[in-house]
Amino acid sequence: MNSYSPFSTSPMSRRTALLGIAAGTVGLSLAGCGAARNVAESEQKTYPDSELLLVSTIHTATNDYMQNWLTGSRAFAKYAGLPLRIVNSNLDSQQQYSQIQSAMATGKRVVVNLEPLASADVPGIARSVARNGGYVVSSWDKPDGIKPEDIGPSWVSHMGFDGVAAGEYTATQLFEAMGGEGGIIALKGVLDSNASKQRYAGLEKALAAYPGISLLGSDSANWDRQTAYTKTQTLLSRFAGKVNGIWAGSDSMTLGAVAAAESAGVQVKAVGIDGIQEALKSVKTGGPIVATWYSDGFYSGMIGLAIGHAAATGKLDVSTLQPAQRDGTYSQFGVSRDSVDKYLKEPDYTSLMAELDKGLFNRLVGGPLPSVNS
Amino acid sequence: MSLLKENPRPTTMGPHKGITRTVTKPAGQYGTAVALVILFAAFSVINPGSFMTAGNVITILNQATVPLILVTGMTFVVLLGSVDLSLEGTMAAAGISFVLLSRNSVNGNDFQLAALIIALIIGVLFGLVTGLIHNYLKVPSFILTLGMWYIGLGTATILYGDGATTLEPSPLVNWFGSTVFGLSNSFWIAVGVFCLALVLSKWTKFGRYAYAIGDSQEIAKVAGIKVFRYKTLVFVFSGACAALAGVIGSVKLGAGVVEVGSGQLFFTLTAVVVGGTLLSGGSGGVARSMFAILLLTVLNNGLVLSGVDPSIQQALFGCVIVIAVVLTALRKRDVLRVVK
Amino acid sequence: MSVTPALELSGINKSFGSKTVLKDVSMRIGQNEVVGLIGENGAGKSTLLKLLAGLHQQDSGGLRIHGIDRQLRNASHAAELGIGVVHQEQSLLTNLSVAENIHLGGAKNRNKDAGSSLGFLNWKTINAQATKSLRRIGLDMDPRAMIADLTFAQRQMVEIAKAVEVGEHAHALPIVILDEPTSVLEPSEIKRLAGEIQRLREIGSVIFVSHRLEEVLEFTDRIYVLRHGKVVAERETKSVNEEELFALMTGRQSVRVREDLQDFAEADTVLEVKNLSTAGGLDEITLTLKAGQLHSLVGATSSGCEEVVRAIFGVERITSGSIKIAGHPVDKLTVRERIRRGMAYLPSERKSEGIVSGMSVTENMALAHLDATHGRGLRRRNLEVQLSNMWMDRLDIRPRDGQAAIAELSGGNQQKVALAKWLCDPNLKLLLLDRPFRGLDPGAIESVKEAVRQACHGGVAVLTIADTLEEALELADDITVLKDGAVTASINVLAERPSVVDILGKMV
Repeated sequence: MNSYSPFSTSPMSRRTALLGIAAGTVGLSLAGCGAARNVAESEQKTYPDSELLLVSTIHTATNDYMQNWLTGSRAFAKYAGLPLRIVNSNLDSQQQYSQIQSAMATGKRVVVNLEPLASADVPGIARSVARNGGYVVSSWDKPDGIKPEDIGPSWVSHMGFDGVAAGEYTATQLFEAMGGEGGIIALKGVLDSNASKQRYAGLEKALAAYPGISLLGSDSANWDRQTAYTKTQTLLSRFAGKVNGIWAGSDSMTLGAVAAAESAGVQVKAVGIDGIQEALKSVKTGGPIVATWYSDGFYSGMIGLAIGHAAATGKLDVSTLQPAQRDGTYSQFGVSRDSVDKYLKEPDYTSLMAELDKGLFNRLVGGPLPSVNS
Repeated sequence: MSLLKENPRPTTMGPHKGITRTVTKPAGQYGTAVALVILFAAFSVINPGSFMTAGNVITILNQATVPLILVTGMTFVVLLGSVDLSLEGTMAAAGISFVLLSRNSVNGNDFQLAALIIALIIGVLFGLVTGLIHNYLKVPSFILTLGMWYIGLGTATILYGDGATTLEPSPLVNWFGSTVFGLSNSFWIAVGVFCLALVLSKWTKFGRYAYAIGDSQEIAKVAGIKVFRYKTLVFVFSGACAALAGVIGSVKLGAGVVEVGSGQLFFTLTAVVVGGTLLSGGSGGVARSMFAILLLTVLNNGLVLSGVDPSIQQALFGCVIVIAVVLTALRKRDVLRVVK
Repeated sequence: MSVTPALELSGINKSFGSKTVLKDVSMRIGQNEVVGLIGENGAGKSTLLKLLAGLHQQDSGGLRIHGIDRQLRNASHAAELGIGVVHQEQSLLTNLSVAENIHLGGAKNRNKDAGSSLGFLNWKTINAQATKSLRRIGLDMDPRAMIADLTFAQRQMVEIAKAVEVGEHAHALPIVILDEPTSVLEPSEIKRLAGEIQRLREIGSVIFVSHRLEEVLEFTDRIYVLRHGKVVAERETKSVNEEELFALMTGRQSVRVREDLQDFAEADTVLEVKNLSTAGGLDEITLTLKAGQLHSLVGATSSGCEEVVRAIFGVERITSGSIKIAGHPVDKLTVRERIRRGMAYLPSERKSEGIVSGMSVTENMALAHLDATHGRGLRRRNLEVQLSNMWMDRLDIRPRDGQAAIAELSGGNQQKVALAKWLCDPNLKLLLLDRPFRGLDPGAIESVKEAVRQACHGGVAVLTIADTLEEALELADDITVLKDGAVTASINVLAERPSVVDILGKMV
């Protein structure tokens, strides 16, 4: 299930995810029973650039992170001189799957930078790509208990991010800004998503360290700005006079929450996660948002393609990769007033290339995080 | 010789004759209001001291603002026997347009009232297009407005560009937020729209013909009603309501985002059905829809206020809906059929 | 008496595609005159009426209203010129009030009068005007009443008021066309309507269209007979009788008097109903039917006739008493099981319960008797077709096209298909008919009556609910009169030779 984003995930995506699993599992397990064996044992095939097609997936066009991701992808495409196909799932797992398939149907070998809508989508897509001799790099979410090695060299790598660190960082910043005293309300993302669970776990860690802060109440706003607005209105009403701070699992929700606080005439400090422009501006101007967490969509959009491309052209030998390089956690950055300037300016082509030069696994910080699904 | 027979032919009364007269006819008309009172009382009891405070009541009314505007437009469409699924798209397109034309963080525009008017015109245009295509190309409203929904969202996405445009304070924007008797002007606008809708329903041809067309389009046509004209007007009204709601929603959020209307379609349609306006047309009204909006808003507010686990909130919400619809549906058999 | 006729048609021709529907039709309706228009279904009556209402335009021929040549462009135009139609199907909007419906009838010229301005409605004026219109035809009804709350007869009155209203504002004497106004009315309501027609005659002219020949004879001054699209006769009402009219209309003789009454003492008992009471209000109903007998139930609305039949069929809950078909108790059996025992039911709402609109004629007929037309579970199309052809011939169903979608047939022909469906069954023992002749034209009635009689001769017992007393007397061997859910009289026609008055007395 997807993470970060300031888009609204409806129960529909969960349902389509379930349908996707059902269809994918039945279909692929029939086909994949035989194929999986072959794929797992197969050699890493390499191709010349002329046979390659870059594919980058997003879920909606009106989302900062996604747009940043696309910019990163386009930068890499420019660098490699290859065509880039953008797959917009519009919050529908089936759409994502079938668009990737139609990319493969062009006859070219695909290099997919996969941002799955639901973690359950990943194995199906990975197998499908593998069968077609393509390569895929996934990020954020995958189902527990399955690793790239299980599919083969086609699934080159999985890039995870530390949601717990994110939640903990922003919460700590919030509590500091509140002077260690006061009441907060918390807004989770889509309840079912790993990202939401990890981030909230981070909040709880921070709470343990700040006894003066009390968590008055929490609710879920499904990553949606509008929903966050309405929920916050009611929560502010419920805890009238007691709310000094708002913690939310994404900037989109934070922005909705602070708008509600403003309408209600309540002064609060707030934090979010993602590092979208509006939030960064608020941090910079000393606005209600005091900190956020920079997901760096630019980098992810670029590096996923880079890793996949390297594997596809033979520059990278998948069999020589460390376990963490196949399934690991990558760094992101906490943003507070002091550091915000660094992130306000969007990176241009040159700075992105500079990052690329630092190496494919430059930001790898460790192996996969323990699962939050207990 | 008096004509006192009870049985109007050729209409057949269903098997629940007795129940209809004593329970559900009054239930249909006042049921929603009664349910609202019961729910309100229930939440007050569960949350003494925090639910029934002036502050929370104000919050509830403010939360009902956008839905109330949307439901008045939608009620007329449903009275026709049609449906308008496009409202989230219209909201987005109009909302972002308003933001882009008002004082904002991205460009130098600063149209005050003109921005609002242009946004409303966008809503009117959406409604006009819908009405014309529905009437002259005979496309059923369900599929047509579904398409308009995506067109609206698409337009909004294009306008959205690279990132959300934030609204800067300006006289008009501030006016929306300032309060009279503790309630925001946006709320009073919603009240105004509702009152306008009541007047339209009872005292204008627009309203009466909407009912007539919903009852039987053929008979209305033969009776000389210009069906095409009035149907189009209804869609235009609905579009304008959606546009207004989009503007107000954007002002509340303080930015122009495509998701300004997210979830509103479901909420609005649910209110129309729960309120007792039949999806088959010809029966119901804005007053009922208004009570239903309040009912649903109170429900949402109450669930959060009571600290109900978010994973259960949806289920509970759904249960209340089902109960309300069953009560309404006892009246006639084919309540939930969307006809035209 | 004014010389200029209210309405004059000369040489009207109308065709739809290659089908000529009206040929050289000429008619004259005088001022303050009630003119009857009769003809079988398919004779062209409804097209003629639609033409007068402005819904169709003639291909050739002239129309004069109050002496002035007119071309009726559309319904509003016809209304403006003073022509008001009271339709067979209701044309009122049920969720609006009486006053609104009357106001709507006025169309264009109305809006210039007070009543609405700038789209706003002035209720006081609208209600006052409606009251005026209602009073004109002698009605004292609350103009604010919702149509949905009115009875059929009351609605009809409103329609008449609406039709008259249009004339008012045409500043011309209204020409009111009544299309089959009595087919669903009770005797008392019909008397009321008769009064209306008289009043209408005083203020304008009336065209009275009906299948009920006795009523046409009673209410009209002159009669036009339409057949195959042509005017075949024009008569002064007082110089013609029912037989003649029937003959002019159909070209056939009608069978009027029951000559063949027999004694059924020796026949098998097919239906035995003893002390039947139901939750719906039936009280100790007892009747017996023998094979080959036709038994008629008569009663006013809500007298319980329909409930009796429904109880026998199996869709009413019985609280006490018993029902036996061919000696077998059937109270506990489901409808399907009863059908297997040889029972069939033709309801009055044929559209909702008797036929399946989406299917063709043949398919409908085959439906109830899937066994006859299915071999080993699969449809046998040629069997179906044979069956339907046979019945189409026997009942003179038009058009003779088994593939026709049943929804396209006229009401009468649909009725015949519904009947054929049941008559197909060789196992048929008991046939329940609820007002089977309602809405049929005299020719169709005769065909159906023939079929029913033949079924009786073949040993089927028939229980009908009669629409009119004349019908009961003409067909039945036994008559049971119901009132308020109880039997008030059980009459054996052969033995007692009752008259209409006798029976009426037991009904009310």
